[in-house]
Amino acid sequence: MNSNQQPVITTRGISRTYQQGPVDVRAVDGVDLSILPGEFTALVGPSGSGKTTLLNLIGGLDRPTAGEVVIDGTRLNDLDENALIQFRLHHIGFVFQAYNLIPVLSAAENIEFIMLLQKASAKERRTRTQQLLKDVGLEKLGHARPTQLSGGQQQRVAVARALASKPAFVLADEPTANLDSHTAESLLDVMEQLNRDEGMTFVFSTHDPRVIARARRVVTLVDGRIDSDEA
Amino acid sequence: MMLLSIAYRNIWRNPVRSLVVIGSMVLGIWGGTFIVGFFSGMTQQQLEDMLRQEVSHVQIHGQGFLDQFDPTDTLHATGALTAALALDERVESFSARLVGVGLIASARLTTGGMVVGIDADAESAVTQLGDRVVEGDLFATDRPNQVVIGTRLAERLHVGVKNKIVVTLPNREGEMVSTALRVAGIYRERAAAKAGARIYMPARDLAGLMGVGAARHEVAVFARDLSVVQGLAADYAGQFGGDLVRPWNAISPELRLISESYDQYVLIIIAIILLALLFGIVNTMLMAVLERTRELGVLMAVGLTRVKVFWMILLETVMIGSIGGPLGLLVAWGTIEWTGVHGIDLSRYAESLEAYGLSTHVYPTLDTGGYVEILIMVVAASLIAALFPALHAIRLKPMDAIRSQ
Ligand SMILES: Nc1ncnc2c1ncn2[C@@H]1O[C@H](COP(=O)(O)OP(=O)(O)O)[C@@H](O)[C@H]1O
Ligand SMILES: [Mg+2]
Repeated sequence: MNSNQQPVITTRGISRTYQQGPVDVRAVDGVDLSILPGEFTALVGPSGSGKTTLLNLIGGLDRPTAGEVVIDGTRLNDLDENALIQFRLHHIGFVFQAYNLIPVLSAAENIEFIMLLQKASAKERRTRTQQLLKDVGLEKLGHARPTQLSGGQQQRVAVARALASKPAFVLADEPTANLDSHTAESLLDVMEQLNRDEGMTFVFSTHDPRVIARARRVVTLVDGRIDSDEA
Repeated sequence: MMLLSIAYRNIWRNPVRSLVVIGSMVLGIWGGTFIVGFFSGMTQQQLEDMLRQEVSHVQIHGQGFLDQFDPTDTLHATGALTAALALDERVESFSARLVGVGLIASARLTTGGMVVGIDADAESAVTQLGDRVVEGDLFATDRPNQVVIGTRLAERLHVGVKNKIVVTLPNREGEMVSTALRVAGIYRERAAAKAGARIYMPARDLAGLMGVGAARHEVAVFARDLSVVQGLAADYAGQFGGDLVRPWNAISPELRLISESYDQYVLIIIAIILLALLFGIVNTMLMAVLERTRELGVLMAVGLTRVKVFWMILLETVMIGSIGGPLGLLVAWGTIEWTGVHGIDLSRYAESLEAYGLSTHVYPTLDTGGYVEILIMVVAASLIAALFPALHAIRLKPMDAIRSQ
């Protein structure tokens, strides 16, 4: 990896404390992390170690109680709620564990919807949607509703949807958690291929050893702190 | 825009629930609008009956007559006035009357009342008195000393057709004069009529009794159209000496009261229905929003602004309203039109209805303004109902919403 590139994600000493009754839970506790363009990084750690919280902070879905998050040169701390929504729309792709898709929209419409929010032209939307469906191997299922798709197919549409906005990177929180191992592998294939062919940066959390094995960099969280960071 | 399409498809996500809401909207609006139409028809009829049978559109009296009912306070120029009315295009019919206040007695009872001298045809043209005669006739024969009395008075006096009653009243010299009259007919009284007994004699008989000749005390005028009444009254006021000219609204404050209380009833009915609709819609939409917490979280995470989320929920609600509202109004319109022509027969309850001065057949009616008003209120109610769920939706934090299971 080219080390004089600017990182797409930089966190400096970010913490996130939750009030749970009388106790403060430090879900994320002083994390410094840099992700360079084109990385394929797994965020691992036991349940409750802070993976989701950290991804939410990076993705601008949550605000740190301390420290700062810089994405593509923009300090997220400085953005208000509406600016943050616009920022997410244009810079960050999200894949969640499940129920990513809007059930009343077809696979193609789910992808197109994002571009519609970005006010892309009808022509661009159509060609890009087709391209993305092809990229994730679902060119024939564009018209299908999410309920007509398998779990693995739904997650692939979710990946395509995440890429639709041409984001700087994709955050995926346990994208394979609800999939059987075979389907999980093929979703990873799709993500890996997009990473390789288009240089798309992926940061995904998981605790599945087979998924971890596919990552090129593995950041391990324990109790909200980085325990190890191996490339 | 896609939001519209999403909102529309969301409605059919739980078709049973949406149909239940739309169905109850249709039923509620149908029922409510119909009741409003029913009331409106009933009130209009009541007003028309009161105008027709009692008040007329315009009444003209001799100066000071109503203060004392002095037989000498006749109209300033009865002949000129009736000639003018006969030529007036705006006038449908008019009846010149003599009016005396006197005692009416049978073998059983003596009571006070109004003795009205009329020309049978003219009076029937104005107040339909002839049509309301239920026993005997309205001076169909030339026999002298005939009288027509009301059903209630007949009962109280215990007299029927062909029986005799005695009427005593002052003549123009101020002397009390009496005459025995034979009951020629009995007319149906509007049961709610406030006025006391009112009996009718041929005007020339009463004129002889009172000694007033061809002069009359009062003229009741019915116009061709309600809209010309105020102008008509204004034109005649001041033209004939000191005659008192009054349009219906100046004569009967009761009429105004009826139409005002109608407005109040309608408002109460509509308010109750809209309140029920409001709760129904809030409940349904809140359920729909709560069920979609995760989905709304994802939408907000990937870039749907709060404003758009708000609009989406609002659109969904308004769509439900704009299916249910017009449908309910359409069904109501059909029902009102049909029953408006065929009437609703309430004769089974006729006795108690008549006691309230209501007719036994009701012809529901509602003008366009009424429908538009209800439509506007329905739209407003569904917008208000949408606010609560929509505000709930935009207060969701995407992060929490996605975590919720
Ligand atoms: N909204 C919240 N309120 C309170 N505590 C929370 C909340 N979200 C997460 N936590 C706590 O923060 C810690 C980290 O949670 P999370 O980031 O979900 O871990 P992971 O994704 O690695 O399982 C856990 O102890 C969890 O209980
Ligand atoms: Mg998690």
